[in-house]
Amino acid sequence: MVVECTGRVISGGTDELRHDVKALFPHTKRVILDLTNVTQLDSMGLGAIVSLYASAKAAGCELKLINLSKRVREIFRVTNLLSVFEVYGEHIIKMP
Amino acid sequence: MTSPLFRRDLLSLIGASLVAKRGEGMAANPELFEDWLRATPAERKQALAASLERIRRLDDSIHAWVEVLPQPQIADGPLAGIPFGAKDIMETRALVTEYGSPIYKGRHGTEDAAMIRRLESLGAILLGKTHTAQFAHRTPAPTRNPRNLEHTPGGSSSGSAAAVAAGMVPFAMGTQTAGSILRPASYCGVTGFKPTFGTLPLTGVLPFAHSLDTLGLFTNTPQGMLALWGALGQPTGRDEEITLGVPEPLLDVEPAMAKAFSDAVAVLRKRGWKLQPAPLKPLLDPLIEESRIVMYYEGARFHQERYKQYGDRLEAVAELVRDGLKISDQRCREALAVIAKSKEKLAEHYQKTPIILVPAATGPAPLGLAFTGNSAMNAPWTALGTPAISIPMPVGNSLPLGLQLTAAPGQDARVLRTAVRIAPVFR
Repeated sequence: MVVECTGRVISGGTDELRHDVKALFPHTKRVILDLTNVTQLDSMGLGAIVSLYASAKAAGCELKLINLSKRVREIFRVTNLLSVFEVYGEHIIKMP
Repeated sequence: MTSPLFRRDLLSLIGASLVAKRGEGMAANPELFEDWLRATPAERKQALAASLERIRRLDDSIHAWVEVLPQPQIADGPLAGIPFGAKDIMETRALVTEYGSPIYKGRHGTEDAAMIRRLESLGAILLGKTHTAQFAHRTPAPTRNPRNLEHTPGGSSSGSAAAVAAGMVPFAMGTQTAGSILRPASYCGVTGFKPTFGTLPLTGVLPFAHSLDTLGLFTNTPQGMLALWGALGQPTGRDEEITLGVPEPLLDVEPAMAKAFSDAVAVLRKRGWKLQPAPLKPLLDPLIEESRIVMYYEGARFHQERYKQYGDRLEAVAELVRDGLKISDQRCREALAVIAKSKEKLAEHYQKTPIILVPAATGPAPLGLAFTGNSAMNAPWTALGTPAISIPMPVGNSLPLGLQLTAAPGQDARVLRTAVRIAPVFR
């Protein structure tokens, strides 16, 4: 199941992401967050994604990320989180 | 999940009997280290009981402590009867040392860490061990932020920062390899101090990356930190007129931090402090990656044997080992060379501005406990070996944000004294 994320994943705007994606875990073995259209990501946004990763793992589901922009990828890298998620693709590469 | 519980609410839970009544000569408020230093032996005993009561009442919500078991006072000295907490990667024989990992549940240390012995030789009482992220890396502790229980306290010195923020102990020990003291201090609204690399002894502390690991301290205020530093027998310097360096352009931080930092700089300027722009971004930004290379290279090799034994049970450390072992000796040497060169460049900056101000974190504490935050504002300074302190900036009712002050290596007293002089400006 692929979830397209759009806009800013930042403080004050992560509740919907947390809630909606978490609701998918009981119904699938893998959820992919497509971050192509994510324009901004801060620590709160990272916290939301890491929290979803932990929830997914607990529910026996995989959470993957695709299409991170250079900026978003850099944020994952400096926080040592890049290896946590199996990240597919750069900015313009789409999953088949 | 528990509803948000702010510190003012926490304090109201404590009850009138635990609130300081200076007029009655009591030191029953266990929050401030400077109050403990002024207290009589009888007052210290009273305050110790207050500390334990506070832990008893609050720790079910905060989870700052792995184990609380006050150790006997073995000496008389400047810290006689003053309790402290130690991060659970510091070895203790009488208390558990579990490194934050379920693999080591119930393990006791084979020795007492040198710094714990030193504090005890000054009369301090080890009250217990505080929660850490697993092996002082990324897998979070169960600790919640006392300022808002829905948020992380940061890591990896999570329990130490939270215990001080909740007024459970007047000081606590932590360690920093990237941002594990300064960032939790910023998130929890307390004072966190990382001395010059190599100043405090690491014997008996679980290593992470030997080129970066630094032992440090948490107190509630910079005044308390300076007093503690002096009590440890360290030079405390003298007040001096100093020009403060401010990075221009500002480093990459979130809007809330950018605003708080700019406001703090504006207040300081208005109050007569001399400030100068410092073009630090080109120097600091590459160090985020170079310090990460060193941390992963050294951390992977330190934990390699453990990984062979426990594999994925090490959680984030397993990833660290897998990734870090891919880093070549040559790449690590290059990273260390970049860091060495950066130290030379930074020394030139300190000639012009002996104290440099930077944000202590990229923003406020993230929501939830899964992610302990971004160390990008701290890791370069850890690699550079400078003394660094985080003090709370004015934020109203929002989550805390810290201002980080740094100085040239060896100038610990300067950074502490300047923090003490700046703190009242923010009140």
